[in-house]
Amino acid sequence: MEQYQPPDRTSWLTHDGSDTDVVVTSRVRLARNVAGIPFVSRCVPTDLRGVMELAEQSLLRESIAPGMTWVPLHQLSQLDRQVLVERHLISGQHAKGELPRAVAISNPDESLSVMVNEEDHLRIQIIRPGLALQDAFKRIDAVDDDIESRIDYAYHPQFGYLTACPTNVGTGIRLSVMLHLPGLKLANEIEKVRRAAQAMSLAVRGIYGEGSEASGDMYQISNQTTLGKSEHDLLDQFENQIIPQVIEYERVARRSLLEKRRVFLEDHVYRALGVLRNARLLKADEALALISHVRLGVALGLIEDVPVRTLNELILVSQPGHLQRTIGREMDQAERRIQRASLVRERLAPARPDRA
Amino acid sequence: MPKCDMCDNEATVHEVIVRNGQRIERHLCEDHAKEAGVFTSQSFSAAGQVVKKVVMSQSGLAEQAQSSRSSCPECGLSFAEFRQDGLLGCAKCYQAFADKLVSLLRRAHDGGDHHVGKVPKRAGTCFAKQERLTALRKQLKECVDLEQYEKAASIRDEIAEIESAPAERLHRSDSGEPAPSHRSSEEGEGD
Repeated sequence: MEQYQPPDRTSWLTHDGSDTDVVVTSRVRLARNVAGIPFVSRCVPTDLRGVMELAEQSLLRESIAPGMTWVPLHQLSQLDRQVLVERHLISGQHAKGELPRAVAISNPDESLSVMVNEEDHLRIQIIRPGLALQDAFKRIDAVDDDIESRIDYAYHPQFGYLTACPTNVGTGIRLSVMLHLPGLKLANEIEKVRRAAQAMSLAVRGIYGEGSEASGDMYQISNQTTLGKSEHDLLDQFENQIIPQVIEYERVARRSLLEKRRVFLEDHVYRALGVLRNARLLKADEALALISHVRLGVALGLIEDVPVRTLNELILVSQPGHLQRTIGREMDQAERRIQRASLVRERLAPARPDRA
Repeated sequence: MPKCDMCDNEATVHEVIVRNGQRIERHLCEDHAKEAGVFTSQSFSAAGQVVKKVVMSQSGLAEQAQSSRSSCPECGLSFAEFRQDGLLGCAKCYQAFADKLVSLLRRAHDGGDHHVGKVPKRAGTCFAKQERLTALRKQLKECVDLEQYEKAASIRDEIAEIESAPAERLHRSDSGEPAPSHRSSEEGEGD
């Protein structure tokens, strides 16, 4: 069985970017299909293999990105697939099924990934830490041009880039910014964000996309319109309008909590750290929620001995797939809770001068 | 209880015909429906079908009705199947179901029904040709509406010229040189 050995650090965990107190990641995705081959859901296995061959030849080149790794998903164990989902390199839908499918990943930074034979033949993604949509777009645009020098895309003058689902047709682009909004959540003002987003036809979702709950106070804002609006108009809307506005809302909410409800806030933050440092059983959702509160404490300077990078790593490592991967074996839910609690305690252990 | 347009009996047959953009509704009882030749599920007959076809072709709806029943000629996906899981089968589906998709696209894309943004470089010439043709056809229609028949004739000739020109020669004919008038097997398809 094939394996994908994920690097220790995936690029979006590094926390080196702009506005990282609120913005966790910026992602840009393009949906593309190969001209002359039916869309994935109507493909026979021969078609799927044809797309795989074309994609492998076009993607595994130095000009696309150094160190591109080809991972045939249908030959991968369920656990390895889950790890890729948790790293945001493939979708939950892409992880399922045994038909020929793959993901090409730039190694070791994992900033570029291309899902092959998901809902569309190609789903190209760039992920960056912090607010960096322009930068991510420039990169993905170049990758797209490079792929297009090898592959004819399905395109129509009126409808643009043709996609299996008409909700993606046109530019085929999805901009998506993951935001950490504990201040607005505590102040009961998340509705404000939803309204602002809705007014611009944008969607607000949880951490793992469509249909997922906003666990750990993480929210994703992404566009829904792909037809009739150019890539640059969308970028402008995100980078100059909605995102700065939400960042400002969140910062104001945090400051106001600090000024007007300091004890409440301190209790919230230190209690979370106390639980994480002492719990013997931790559910995944509970861990995410507590980590979120500690992250808020760090951002506000209330907690000084925990680096944000450690928290970002914990968010990933407390997911079921990564947890099992780290411990090195498959575990049932009960055992995962024990191991999660133990791992979190270990990584968040306060530095003790007497033991050092 | 709706009454028959012709008598006091209950109307069980309801017919809507759109003719020249006008909506005509008829509500008839079983007997009067038969008399009027309106086909019903019980009285399904060849004659009824013929009547329907005539009405449809007169109002120019035959093709539209055909497309609603038929499937994509390329991949065989039916519109009903698309409705079920929201996925189209191939690039040609967009053409095959264009009429119905446009309203759906407008709803999904905040009113948008025409691509704005990046265009793949390689296919550029074919699309330039398609777009030129679309623009000319629109002009032609406007000229006919305004009864400018001379201008319309010259636009019609230009359309014929472009349609018969091989894709790679299009630029030359654009720059003033006469386009070759022969048909070529290399003629580019727009999609």
